[in-house]
Amino acid sequence: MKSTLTTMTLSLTGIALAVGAILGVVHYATEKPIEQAVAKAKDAAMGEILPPFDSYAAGETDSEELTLYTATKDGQQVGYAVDTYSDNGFGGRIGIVAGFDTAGVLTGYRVMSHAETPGLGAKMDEWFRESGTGHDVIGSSAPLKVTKDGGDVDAITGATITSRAFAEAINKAREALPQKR
Amino acid sequence: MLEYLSIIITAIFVNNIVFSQFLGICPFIGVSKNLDSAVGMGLAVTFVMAVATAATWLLQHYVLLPLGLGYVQTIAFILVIAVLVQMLEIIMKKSSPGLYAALGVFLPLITTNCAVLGVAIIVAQKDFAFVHSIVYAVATALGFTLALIVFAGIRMQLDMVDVPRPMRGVPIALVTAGILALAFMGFSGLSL
Amino acid sequence: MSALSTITDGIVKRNPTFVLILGMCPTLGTTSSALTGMSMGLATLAVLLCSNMAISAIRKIVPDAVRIPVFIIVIASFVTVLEMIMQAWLPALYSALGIFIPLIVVNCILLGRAEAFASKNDVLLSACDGIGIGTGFTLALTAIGTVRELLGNGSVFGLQLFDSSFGALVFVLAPGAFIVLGFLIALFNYLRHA
Repeated sequence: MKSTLTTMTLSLTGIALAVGAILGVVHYATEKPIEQAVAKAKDAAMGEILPPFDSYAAGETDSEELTLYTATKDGQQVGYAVDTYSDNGFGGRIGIVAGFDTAGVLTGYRVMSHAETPGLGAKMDEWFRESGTGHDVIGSSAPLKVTKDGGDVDAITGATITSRAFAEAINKAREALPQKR
Repeated sequence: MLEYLSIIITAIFVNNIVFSQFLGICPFIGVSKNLDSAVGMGLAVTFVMAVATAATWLLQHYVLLPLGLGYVQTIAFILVIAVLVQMLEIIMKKSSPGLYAALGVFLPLITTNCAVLGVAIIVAQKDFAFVHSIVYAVATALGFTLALIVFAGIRMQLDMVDVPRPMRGVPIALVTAGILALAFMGFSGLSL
Repeated sequence: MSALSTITDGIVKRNPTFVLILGMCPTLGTTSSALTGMSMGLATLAVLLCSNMAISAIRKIVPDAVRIPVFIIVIASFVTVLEMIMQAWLPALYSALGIFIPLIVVNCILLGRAEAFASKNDVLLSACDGIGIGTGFTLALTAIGTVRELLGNGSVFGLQLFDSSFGALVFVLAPGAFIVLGFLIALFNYLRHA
């Protein structure tokens, strides 16, 4: 088609409107499913990382940026889950939920969001809970530190940055736990 | 200041955009046949990346996020980059023909250089502050330039070598890049 | 040019990875395992098919001077739609492929096919071209992913063939990506000219 100012303006306006409409509709259609997918992943994660419980609810914490959940069974507190993160991952923010029992022992964790290298940093979801290895952190009650920084947690091979960020997120979660009084 | 130094060293050597993040591979393979064009491409990318990161950062924080339009990030960023590259080309042609003669041919290629869009998206994901973003973008681009220049130097030597026929051209270049990437992995031991 | 030959051409004669050497970033960045490689290939195939058809459908009403911006907008919107759909129904895969999903926008294969093929041919033929090139890309990425996963981790599609401690981790890491791709292109060259 010949390029005149009129045809160019018309076609660009037309395509912008069409694209805007399509994106708006798809966003509207996927908004709920995206929220549900996030919520479902969270419920599944809670079940995995905490001691057996009936229900969980957002609890109080001194931390301003992290969300803390208190899990209860038969009205008794059985543990805490903390929505934590680190911005120092290889590919940006790593979102983790960490589960603790009432004594502050790490009972489990689940990586909820990350942009780490597939096959490397992305392995953190399994790596740090493979029992019987130098990198099993489940059951720990002290702050985590990778061996390269003088700690005792083996970093993921080839992904020290991810491992450091992981330790940072877990430690941050631990600090957000209610202090024993 | 020390914080920025650490960002710069990390972006250039430890997380080199070509050798460890796999961005900007097309120009890395395509424009690395001789040193002059490698330097030109590197400078053009550095320039565009700095300007594009600044523009997309402002767009993200003052338009998209306040309006709740985060989901159109990809399309908004690529449009800004495309318009920006076009504008730079026009301005450069008018105001500094010398610079245009040196860098002009590389500019159209940069719109589809995934390193530029990649850095803009990474900066948005990591939620960097404005100055931090610019420092990161420039350092990343310098890392790209370094990779391009080193690689061009090697490829000029490679031309004189008798390589088995099916390996000639891109295959041997890729294997060489692999060995360079191996060398760059040595930097990952740097603790900053 | 028949529909069928357009498809097979895309897989062999104009294979985007091994012959045209396009779209190198996702080719290297997402092939650390066979599954991620294949998923990336399929995601690209989906966008390419849609964008080829849409661009071919509007090719007669788009003025020449603004066709590249229009192509970019069309491709970027399909990528954005794909992003939202994956976030909603395939969140695990979406986070595994990470930044390479939005970067489909700047994959030279898409703009290249829009300019070289879809803007000159009818919708059906453009769809075939999209399927052919997309399949060629998917097969290539799956092949690279399979080789890297096997040599680096001892498994194929997660199926453990030998213990991962015998794998050479370097093939999963960045250098292995370059080296495996280099040798696979050489092998493809050799077979094509043999």
